[in-house]
Amino acid sequence: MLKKRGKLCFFVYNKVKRKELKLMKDISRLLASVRRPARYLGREINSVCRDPQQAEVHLALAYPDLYEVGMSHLGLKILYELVNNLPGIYAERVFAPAADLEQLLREQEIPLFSLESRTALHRFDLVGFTLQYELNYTAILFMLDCGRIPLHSSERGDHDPFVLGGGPLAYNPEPLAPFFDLLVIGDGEEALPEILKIYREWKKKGRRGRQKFLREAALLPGIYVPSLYRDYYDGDGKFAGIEALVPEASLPVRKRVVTDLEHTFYPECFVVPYMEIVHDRAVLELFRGCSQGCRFCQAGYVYRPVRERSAEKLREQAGRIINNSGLAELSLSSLSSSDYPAIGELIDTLEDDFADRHVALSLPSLRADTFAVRLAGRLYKGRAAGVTIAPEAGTQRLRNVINKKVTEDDVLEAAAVALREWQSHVKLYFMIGLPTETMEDLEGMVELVRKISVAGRSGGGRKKGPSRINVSVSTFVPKAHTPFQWEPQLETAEILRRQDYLRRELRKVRGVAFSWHDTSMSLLEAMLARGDRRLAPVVKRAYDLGGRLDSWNDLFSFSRWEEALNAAGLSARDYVGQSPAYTEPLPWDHIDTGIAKEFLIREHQRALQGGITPDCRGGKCAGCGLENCPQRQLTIDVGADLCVRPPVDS
Amino acid sequence: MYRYRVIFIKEGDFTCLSHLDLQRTFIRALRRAGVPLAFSQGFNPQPRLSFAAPLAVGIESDGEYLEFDLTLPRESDQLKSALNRQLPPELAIRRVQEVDPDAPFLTSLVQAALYIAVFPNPVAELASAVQSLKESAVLEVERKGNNAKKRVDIRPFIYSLHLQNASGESKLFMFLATGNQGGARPGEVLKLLPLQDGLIRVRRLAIFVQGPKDYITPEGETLSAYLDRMCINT
Ligand code: SF4
Repeated sequence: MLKKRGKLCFFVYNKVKRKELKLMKDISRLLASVRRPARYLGREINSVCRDPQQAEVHLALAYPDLYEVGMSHLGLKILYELVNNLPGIYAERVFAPAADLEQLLREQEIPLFSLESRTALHRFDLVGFTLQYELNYTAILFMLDCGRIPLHSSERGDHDPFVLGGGPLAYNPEPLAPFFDLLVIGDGEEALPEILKIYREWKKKGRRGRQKFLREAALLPGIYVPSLYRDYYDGDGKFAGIEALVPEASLPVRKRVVTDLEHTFYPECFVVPYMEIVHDRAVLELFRGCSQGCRFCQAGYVYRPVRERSAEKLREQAGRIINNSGLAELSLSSLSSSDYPAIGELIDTLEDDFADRHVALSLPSLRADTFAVRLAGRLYKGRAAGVTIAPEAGTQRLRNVINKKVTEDDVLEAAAVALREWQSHVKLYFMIGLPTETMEDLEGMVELVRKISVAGRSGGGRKKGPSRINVSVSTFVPKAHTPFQWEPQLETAEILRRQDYLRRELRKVRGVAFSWHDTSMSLLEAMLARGDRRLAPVVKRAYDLGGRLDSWNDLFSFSRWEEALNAAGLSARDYVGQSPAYTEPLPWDHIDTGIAKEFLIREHQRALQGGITPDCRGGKCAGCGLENCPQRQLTIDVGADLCVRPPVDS
Repeated sequence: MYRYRVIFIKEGDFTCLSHLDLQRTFIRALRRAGVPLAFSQGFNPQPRLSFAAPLAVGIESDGEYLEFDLTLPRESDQLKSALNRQLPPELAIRRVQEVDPDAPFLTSLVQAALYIAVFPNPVAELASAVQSLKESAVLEVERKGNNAKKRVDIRPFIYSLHLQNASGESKLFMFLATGNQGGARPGEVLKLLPLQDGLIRVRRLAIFVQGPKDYITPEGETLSAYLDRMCINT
């Protein structure tokens, strides 16, 4: 569908009711007294401005973080344009206010508003949140509260909006269960329009009986309505399972998969912000899913199978996106972009297409090998960004455990190319606390960094100057639906000890800057990523105690969470410190990603034995049990053969 | 190379855009309009464009100036309508003019600017406060430098102040130095006046370069002719 270039949003003020006009003026006044007012300005190029009164269904797409973060998220761009192309439906954006605006909103009793028509959040029909990061959970409650929507679904009446959620964290929705009316598991491109259709009928019939709508929506595949399920616990208070309360509630809930990505909607009229946002660039989605099979990576499992767009399609989309947005950078995005089959040719074509317009191409996520780094180097051309390499672990043994199929030689060569040939900065990503990690692995990490530093210097590179190797070390978070869901997170004291060791040792390596993650943030991430419904009151309490944008280091406070956990008689350690038996029920068992649990068990076993599972793209199916995977060759033999198959070496 | 000078307004909610926001907005508008932009040389080519006398956040303007270079000539009126389609009405372009590409950018020539501040509920002491500003020899204000705060005397940069009262509101005209040789910001002057109730609206009416005798606008109108035309009697 071809569209005109850059549509501008001119709101028709005279069609708006008086009361709303006042809200608009109030907000204009507020803009004069907050920091970075462009966050709340709206009316960007390609934003969709209509009269909300004319819409049959009015949807708010909410992102529980500041504008500059939410506007960088691809999923939101997809749904915004997709939904606004549906007849009768109007979708607007809402982001979390920063502290200064929050204070003004509360003082002046102004509700949180949408960017386009400045409508109060509680006046929408539905509010859909993107669930991207565990530490955004308090921000969800914050936005609901500022938007005057009751926090619990059980407290909402017929005239309150329905609160929807979707995104990667919907794969373990339990800590959020009481706050959401409905969650979409998996791809939203088909599911959301189906929900809106049912909603429209319900509204036409007089919008009476929330349960009626919810039970009907629950019949759609991939839809989880938490209130139609009950969690239960055994005598010791251990999680024992989840049961459906009504026949409409399916168990398990199978994720939605858009199988034909080539013909699935993709936005071409990106909203162009006035202010600088985190990822200030246009985005192409080369493929969805990832075939690498890194065992710690939730995205690698839940987004299966790999679905690609053709190079011709991508080229067409690129041209239109750049024309419509005027953006000067185009990111070739996916979970591992150098795996795209004809990536070199695609880059050549796009560089040709944009030669006279100076559009910079970028590759956000790459394998840690020379092929990938050479690709990045072609695009680098003196831009400040630098090259990111993620070996994740310091020794080959540990890289085998996590199934990161990259060798030390790969990493060294890649880093040397970047540092020497392009004088680029190199960012190295590692994780500590991975299953089976020992001191040897940490020594290996330091040694690897040292070798990179040496390799980067020899052969005429810059001798002195600021550090050009940034080592960023995060803490392993055992995620639901991965082979490591049966692994514990390392204890905080031990993480701190290992961070100390690295800080001490890496200081001795020339040209290296070291950064690490806050241990208490990692602990909460793990707790919420594995939590059950009993954590919902903890999230609520953390919000009541002042938790807002907890994903921001400077706004985060662990003590609020500690107090909330104490009040509920729970401990974070109980959620993250266990290694449950394979037979134990897990709080996310009712969410079905399509991957057989037996496969995850086998991968876990293989990990502990240091066995590699090959990249399953191109005919090396590992038998994960996914039914709708076009590359599938093996069916998993349930129950048999577990744990005994010898590890396969690549 | 062909150079165009664009004169646009800035008002309403869009006064909240910073200079960098504005730069981003216009570059993207030019790119969307599909004009053949000329780029700088080097590793990281940027469009060749320049804004004259960046305006502080929160201030409206009747005349902001942007100059940019194209590799092919374009009709001024077409440029104007093509760009206006890519901009909100609060940043509307009033005029586009082709100018000499070899002349320096306007921003290096700007010497002064005329502002108006409207006080909705002026306090009684306003007139005497303005008078005492005019009579003082030194007016120190605090400015944030790169690292530290420093005190600057802005008195030499205040060329003239003129207060007008009409139907309950007061209008303060401020003719201030601006540009490379130093200047005063309207906010700095207003801070030296007694506190007011309500929002004071500040608008930049015009910028001026040095003419043969008098200051002149970039279009060549002298300051006194401008004041006459706008019925500002000083
Ligand atoms: S079914 Fe086979 S090819 Fe498809 S994702 Fe699973 S392991 Fe890979």
